[in-house]
Amino acid sequence: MEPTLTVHDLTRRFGRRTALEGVSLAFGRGVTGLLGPNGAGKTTLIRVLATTLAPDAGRVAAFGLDPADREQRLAIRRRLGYLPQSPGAYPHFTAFELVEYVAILKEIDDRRARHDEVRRVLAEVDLGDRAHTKVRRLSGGMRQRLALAQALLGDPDLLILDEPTVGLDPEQRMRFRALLSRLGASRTVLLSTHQTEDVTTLCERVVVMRTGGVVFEGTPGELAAQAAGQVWLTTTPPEGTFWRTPDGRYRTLGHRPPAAVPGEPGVEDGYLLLLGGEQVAA
Amino acid sequence: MNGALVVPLGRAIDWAPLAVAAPLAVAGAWLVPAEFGVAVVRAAGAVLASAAAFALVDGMAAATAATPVPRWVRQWARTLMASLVAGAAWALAWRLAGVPGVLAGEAVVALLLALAGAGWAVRHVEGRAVALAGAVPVLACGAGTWATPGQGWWLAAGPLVLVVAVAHRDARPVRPSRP
Amino acid sequence: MTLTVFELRRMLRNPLIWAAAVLAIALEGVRAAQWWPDLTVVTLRAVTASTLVAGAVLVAANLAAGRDRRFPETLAALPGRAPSRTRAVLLAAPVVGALAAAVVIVPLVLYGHLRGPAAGSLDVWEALNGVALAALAATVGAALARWTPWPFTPLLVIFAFLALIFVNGLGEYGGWALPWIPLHDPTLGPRPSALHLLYLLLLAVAIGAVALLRHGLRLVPAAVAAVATAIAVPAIAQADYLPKPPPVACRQLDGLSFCPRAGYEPWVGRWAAALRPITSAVPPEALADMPALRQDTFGGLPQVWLTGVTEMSVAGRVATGVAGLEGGPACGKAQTVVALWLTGLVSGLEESAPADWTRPPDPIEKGPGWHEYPLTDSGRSSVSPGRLPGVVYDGADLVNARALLADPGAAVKVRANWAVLTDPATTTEQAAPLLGIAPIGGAKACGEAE
Repeated sequence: MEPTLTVHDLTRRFGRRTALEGVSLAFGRGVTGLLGPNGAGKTTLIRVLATTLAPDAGRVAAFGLDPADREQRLAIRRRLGYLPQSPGAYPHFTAFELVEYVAILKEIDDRRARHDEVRRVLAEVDLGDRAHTKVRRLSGGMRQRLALAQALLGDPDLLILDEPTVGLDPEQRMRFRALLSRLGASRTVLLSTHQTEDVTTLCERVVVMRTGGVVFEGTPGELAAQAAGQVWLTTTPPEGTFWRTPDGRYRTLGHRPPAAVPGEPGVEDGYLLLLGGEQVAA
Repeated sequence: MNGALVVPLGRAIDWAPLAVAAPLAVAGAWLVPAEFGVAVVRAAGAVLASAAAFALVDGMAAATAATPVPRWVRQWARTLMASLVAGAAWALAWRLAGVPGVLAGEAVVALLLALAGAGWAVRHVEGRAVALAGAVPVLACGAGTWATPGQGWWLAAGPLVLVVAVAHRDARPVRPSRP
Repeated sequence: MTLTVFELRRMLRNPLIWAAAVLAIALEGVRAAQWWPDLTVVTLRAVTASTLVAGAVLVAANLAAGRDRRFPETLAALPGRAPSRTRAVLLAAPVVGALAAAVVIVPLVLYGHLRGPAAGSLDVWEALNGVALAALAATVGAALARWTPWPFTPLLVIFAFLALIFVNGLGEYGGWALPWIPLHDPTLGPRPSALHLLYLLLLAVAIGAVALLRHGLRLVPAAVAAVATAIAVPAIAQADYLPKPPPVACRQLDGLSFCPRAGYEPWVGRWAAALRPITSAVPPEALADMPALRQDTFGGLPQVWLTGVTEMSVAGRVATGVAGLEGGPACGKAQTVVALWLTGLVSGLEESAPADWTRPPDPIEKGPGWHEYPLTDSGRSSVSPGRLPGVVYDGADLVNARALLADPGAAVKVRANWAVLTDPATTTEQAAPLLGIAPIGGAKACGEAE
């Protein structure tokens, strides 16, 4: 199947700092997780994909359209839902008014249809009963859900979400995962996150970035497999970095410590080993 | 621009600075002796321009950056709404002070300077206080040219509109893809 | 203390403050280059220029003290409490403000001093007023951040201050209680600058204490605010201009008598040099009846000198005097042409005659042939029609004077026929053969728009 979104040899610099260097990726239907440490270039990539930042070099195409062209960019934006890292809000608006404002900007011109759509997305994020509460009175998690609601407006074919689960409580996180997995069945969803748990439970595909480049691309299982044979459990604290597991043992990555038994590798293990290699585990 | 956008956009604007500056400008022009009319109307132009610049701060700039209605439409809509209010307040102050109409050019340029300064700043930095940048060119220009009102100000208006337009343009500069 | 040093370092690196300092130096430096250096005025202007820095410091201090407003959650949970953050800004910002103001004032005053011959007197207390003003602005900025929630309030204060000093430049309303009086009328005597400096410092302390009172009514800041106000208010209430210095003797130069104010003796040579085209063109006896030029409001010599502008004012005065012209219509007279020619020797004649000899209704756009001269310092000026004070002439007189100006031998002809040419009864028509010009006559009645 033709991918919804492709980037080829993407480069973006901010002054002397290179945020993206030679990134080539393709995203099709389903949920893709974008992992990486702070400063890896995730948000820059997300902004380029969301058409809000132009690359210095390379090609971007969404639905076969080129965002560098004004008309084509407009066409992409009509099919795009975007949640930036810091979406911001007007505190004196009600939740309904805020989402309706974005709905107007998304060209949902018919008033009745727009109101129905606003109610629908507010219900999707479980804020239906808070529609007429001022934004300033909403909790941090509720504001995050409100921001997510505006991204869902118009049932977009492409959803780009930067750190969408920040501030959500476990119940809302579960609800959010259910929503995204449902959406991902019929459209392209790209989410940048620091939560490997989100990736494990939600994503069919994962991309790991480091210092502006892609260091891994595959399924969560393949990412976990990167740590095969490098996860160890001991009964006494080993040298280097380790953490205590709920059953009282110590888990470490990399070289096998004395008297260690192999542990089951997870997505987080693969991710940490990819990023830090021996340094993370040692 | 969609007419439905005007109301929420109008509500989204931080009107507080203009709500303070406009009555002050009008009251100043009304109350001070006629001999000070010119100075008060000139000061009113500067203060109203700096207040209008706060209208360009968009707390949801990031969330709305990728919507089909482009940034420049929203920023120009904000500009026009704030300019109308600031312009009306200035015109009232001017009429109450009974001073020559030649001051209008200077007031328009002050407004454009403030909008250019704030427009540039909000493009790069977030937060309400960023709009203070609107006052910087107004004060800097005022400090250098206080003694010379006249029709010559209109000459600066054209280039300044272009500067404002550049500041208001879509966040994504249009650049052709490379093959 | 560590927090104060931190704020100090941040303020020292604040680009807004230093950009304002550079701008103030550049703008005032360029302006000052056009004026004869008068240390009294130079100091005042340097302090006025430094108010740009004071404005920047006010905003910077406001943003620093307003951090609590922008990051309330983060800062509220810290062990260092809000009063200590306010105190740090109150200690750091005035120091940096004072330093930046000094960086503006010192080079501008030095520039005036070095350009010489400088008149007037350097009042160090006056210069320190600028330094104190920046410190005061810093405390005002911090207090505004603590007491008002909007980032716009510092701008309102800045604009209110600017309107006050430009509208009310001589302190007509508020007097010495104003933070700054940018203009100075030297006929009133020296300014009470030391007392005003004390007032500004006390005001800064009081406002700093008021900023701290936002964190609760505490004895120390309340007492400091009360004591500082209690000293400042009565002190400034009795401030008045100081006794004027005794007058200095008049000096004869190039046949003219120059009577400067005390401290302006270095300008006598420059005044004489500026008028030399006239004094060297007329016979010596013509200068004998010329009244002494005095540096006072109606004495012919201004308090200040704007190069390229003031010359015409003084030349007009001297030319009218030596040509024996009296006020009123003087179109078509030879003495008018001679007087205009004399002013042309100093500052050209490329202008038209005023169309309207009454005061123009528009104070901004003066009519053609009108001139604006600085009176005391750059803020106050006089506006007058034509270049010969009180004398009405027309375009034909200007044309005839320009013809005379084009003749390199005109001075010889004028000197040789001085008595006839300056006789009020001699018309330009009659004097034409003596002057060697082909005169034209006015089309309309004298003083009527052409």
